[in-house]
Amino acid sequence: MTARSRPVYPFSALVGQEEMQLGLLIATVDPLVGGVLILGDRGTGKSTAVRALAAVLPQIDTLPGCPYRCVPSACAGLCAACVPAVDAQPRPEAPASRRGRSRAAGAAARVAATATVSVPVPVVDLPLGATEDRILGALDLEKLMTLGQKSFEPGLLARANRGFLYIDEINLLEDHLVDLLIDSAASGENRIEREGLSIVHPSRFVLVGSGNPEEGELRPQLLDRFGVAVEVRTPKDIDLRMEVVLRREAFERDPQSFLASEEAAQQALRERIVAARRALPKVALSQELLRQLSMLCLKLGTDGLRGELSLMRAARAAAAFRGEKKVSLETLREVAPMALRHRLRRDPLDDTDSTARVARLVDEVLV
Amino acid sequence: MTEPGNTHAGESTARAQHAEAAEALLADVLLAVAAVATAPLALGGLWIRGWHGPRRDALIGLLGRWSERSPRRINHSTDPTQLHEGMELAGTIGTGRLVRRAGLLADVEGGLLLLAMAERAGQALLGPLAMALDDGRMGLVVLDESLADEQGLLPAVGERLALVIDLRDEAGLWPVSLDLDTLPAAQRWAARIAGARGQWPQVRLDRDALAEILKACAALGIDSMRAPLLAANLARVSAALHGRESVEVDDLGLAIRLCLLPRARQMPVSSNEEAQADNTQTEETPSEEPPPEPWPAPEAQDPAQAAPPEPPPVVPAEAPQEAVPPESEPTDETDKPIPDGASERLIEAALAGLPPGVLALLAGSIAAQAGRGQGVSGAGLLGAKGRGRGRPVGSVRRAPRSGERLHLLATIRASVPFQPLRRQQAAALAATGLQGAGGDGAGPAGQQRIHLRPDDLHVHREKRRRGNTTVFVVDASGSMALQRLSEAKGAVEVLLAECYVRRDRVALVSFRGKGADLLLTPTRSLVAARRSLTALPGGGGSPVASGLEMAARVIAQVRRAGDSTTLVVLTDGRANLTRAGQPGRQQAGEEARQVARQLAALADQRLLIDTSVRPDPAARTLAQALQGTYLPMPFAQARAIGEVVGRAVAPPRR
Repeated sequence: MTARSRPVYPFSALVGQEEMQLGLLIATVDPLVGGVLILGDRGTGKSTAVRALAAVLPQIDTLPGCPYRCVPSACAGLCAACVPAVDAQPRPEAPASRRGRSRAAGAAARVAATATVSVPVPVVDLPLGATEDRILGALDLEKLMTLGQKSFEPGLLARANRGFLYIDEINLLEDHLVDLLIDSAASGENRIEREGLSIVHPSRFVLVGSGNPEEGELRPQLLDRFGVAVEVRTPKDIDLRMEVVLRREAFERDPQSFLASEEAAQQALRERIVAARRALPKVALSQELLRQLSMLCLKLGTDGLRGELSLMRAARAAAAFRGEKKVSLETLREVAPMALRHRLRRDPLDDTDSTARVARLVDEVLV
Repeated sequence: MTEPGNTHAGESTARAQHAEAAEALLADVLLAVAAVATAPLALGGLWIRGWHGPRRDALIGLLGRWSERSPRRINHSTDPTQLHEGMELAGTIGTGRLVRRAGLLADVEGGLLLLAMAERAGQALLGPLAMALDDGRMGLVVLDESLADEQGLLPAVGERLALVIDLRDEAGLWPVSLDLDTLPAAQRWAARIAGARGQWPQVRLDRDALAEILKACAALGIDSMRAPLLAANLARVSAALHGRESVEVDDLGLAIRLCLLPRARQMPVSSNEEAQADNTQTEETPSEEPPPEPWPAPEAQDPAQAAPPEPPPVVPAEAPQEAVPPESEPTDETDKPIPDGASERLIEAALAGLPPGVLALLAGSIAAQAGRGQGVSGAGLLGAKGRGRGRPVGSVRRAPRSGERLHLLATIRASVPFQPLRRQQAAALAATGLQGAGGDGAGPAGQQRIHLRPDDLHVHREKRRRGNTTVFVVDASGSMALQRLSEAKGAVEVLLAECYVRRDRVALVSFRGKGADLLLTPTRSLVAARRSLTALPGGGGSPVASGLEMAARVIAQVRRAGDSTTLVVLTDGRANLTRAGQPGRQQAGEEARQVARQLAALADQRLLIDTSVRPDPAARTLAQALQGTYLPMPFAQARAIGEVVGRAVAPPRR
């Protein structure tokens, strides 16, 4: 849980996991797509890919020392970084987002002068056995016991703000922990009302979960929080596997020079993401494709309009990443399984692969 | 397995072979310990399976002497919060000033952590450990005492450890009296480890060697990409320990034996087809040149010989291996250190060299994995263990133990009445100049706002949602006419859907013919359950007692993990085979009732569905022995039965 000081394998050097890479990139271009669910066996490079994300993303601006990594212009006014006078004394009367506005405005004015810092996008690992306190944050016992101060010690949800929260083997996560995540992932904030604390802090993160569906099912409510679900398989081709192992070995042997050799590719990828984010609002989706997209969702019987919306968002983000001005049919075809495969209404006993079902209909409808 | 003949000569050769196998195993084990002492971080660690005993202790002793720092030992009950740095609560309150403790992980940074009773450790402890392994912070040695049919170590952790030593088959091991330190091999490693530590990163592993490792992975059905990486590192460490500058065949053999074979999901049968499918150079070549340099395989088979003298000793019956491993020796690369196709021979050699008991265990674990529907893990079970995992309900007065959360409000409330008194005491102490509860860390005594004493402490009481596991025992014997069997299957399917709604786990046991099969270990994957149910064949004798006995084993395991259990037996009750496989209705029935009586105490809820066409007294008496609900299923529709049963087995709402 300490900051990863160790070199991290570069994203651009990943081999043979195109679908997973595209899924993650979609979420980096448009975090509003929702989370990314990675389905697959152990040892397929899921964790490597997720942890590699931070290094390809442009850094974010925040105030020095802010544990929530607030946007400087819209700081939550919770910590000493933006409100030096405030000892994070919680105000029970109203949620921070609203009541904090006047205070935050004052704080923003005060901090305008303060230099902001650039920090890497946080990619936070949530270990399976984490406690509620660890995730939500809790009363800072240390301060309470030694200084008699009531103050809030931010948890993983605070650390993940504006970044990624990664849960390996998410299907094995305890139900009551899942509940905590479901709420935060939807509202973009973390509400703590316990032990005399009453705090709301921003917690806008992209949820990245991975797991093997064979080992346990995910609750539908949690599934719904994921914008795209990608399948990852271990490469079967020996040459490809060789390449994976050789690169990994080269990295482990001499991380610094491996990183140096990848730096140009990493930089190119970073620029591409920045360009895609800029282009995203202008990416169009033609009426024709929209109609086909709705038809696809209708035929698949996805619940409500969520399928359409998330497929549309994902397709536009993918198109932006590929430099398309209009979403192309190919992009839509490629993204459709990712955005829909986990949204099919599912008979728990039905063995048919939902990927196959989506693929069949994609061939039928998206032509 | 080597079956010796009846002759005296046969016996003695068998004994000699046995001793040889034990010796080979010991050599591997010593090298495994040496390797993990050499490069704990690159190898992840060592997974020792087997019970406590002098042999295991001897290995741990060696590990301590050979490692740079002796391993730090923890066990399953270690409080996960101890892994990271933090405040020591009791000390802080007692002294009134901040007492910190270093995190265990920081403590062992770069060294080895030894986790005893790993099979009982929960996710709360293993999750952070797996993460620390990923970060390369330490190496991990786990002692796993799980039984063959028990859920062992959390797969996410096992996956990250390069080396596996299996000591479960004690008959196949070296004599206990052997003093390992006096062995020449041990002395050699002891002398070389320090040097190997610096050398192994420079050891060359060329593409051919790597290709062999990957081919071996493919042949053994290992999909994970961690395995080949760990095996490659292991081969290099082994080469360094042998004083070689590049990886050679022996090192590959070792990596296959110690790292890949224990992860095997299949025996190497499809290797030929696969090799042909994706590698054109393995086409059958008429000329079989011997390899340019003969590399004696560890088991001293002639490596140039295409076919082994005898088929590998254990090949799953459903997948006989008769094909000769294709030989392909490209003539242009004459000085290759690793001959092509080495992995196949190495796997064969490794299989041949293993003691028979280990092979049986290995075959068993592969079968178990197959039965689990592609490796369904026991992690769900493990997750239920340990404290700090439930919803808080109220508080109780005691200092926080492993993983418990301090209930602050209750703690402070408990201390409130005594504040004036304690403040006076503190002031008095400060006045007399004695070191008091005021503490210098917190400033002058008078400024400490709350005076706490360790006996004020309250912790959250937590109520864990007890999961429920439904164990189905399905009679698939001949007396269940095919029609009835499919109706029973239908009923189970309806029940499975109920289990899904309740988020139960299900396990499936069937019995027919000679004995019982555990078709599915407890899982939440309904798909897996349904698949194994559909594939369930019928016919044969009716060993009811064996079926119930298997169910009892599963239920005992589930109870140990803290779940409640529901037993659903579908049978006509006409037992005709004893547990020993002897025919005889009388005794078979008696045995069945005997096991049923034991089950009555084990399973929380019991239900017997009589599947005979007319309600059968045999089934009814069995239900009585179970002290469970009896439900006849004469000509019933599956769904109707399912609804009745669903109501009958629904766990009481609390």
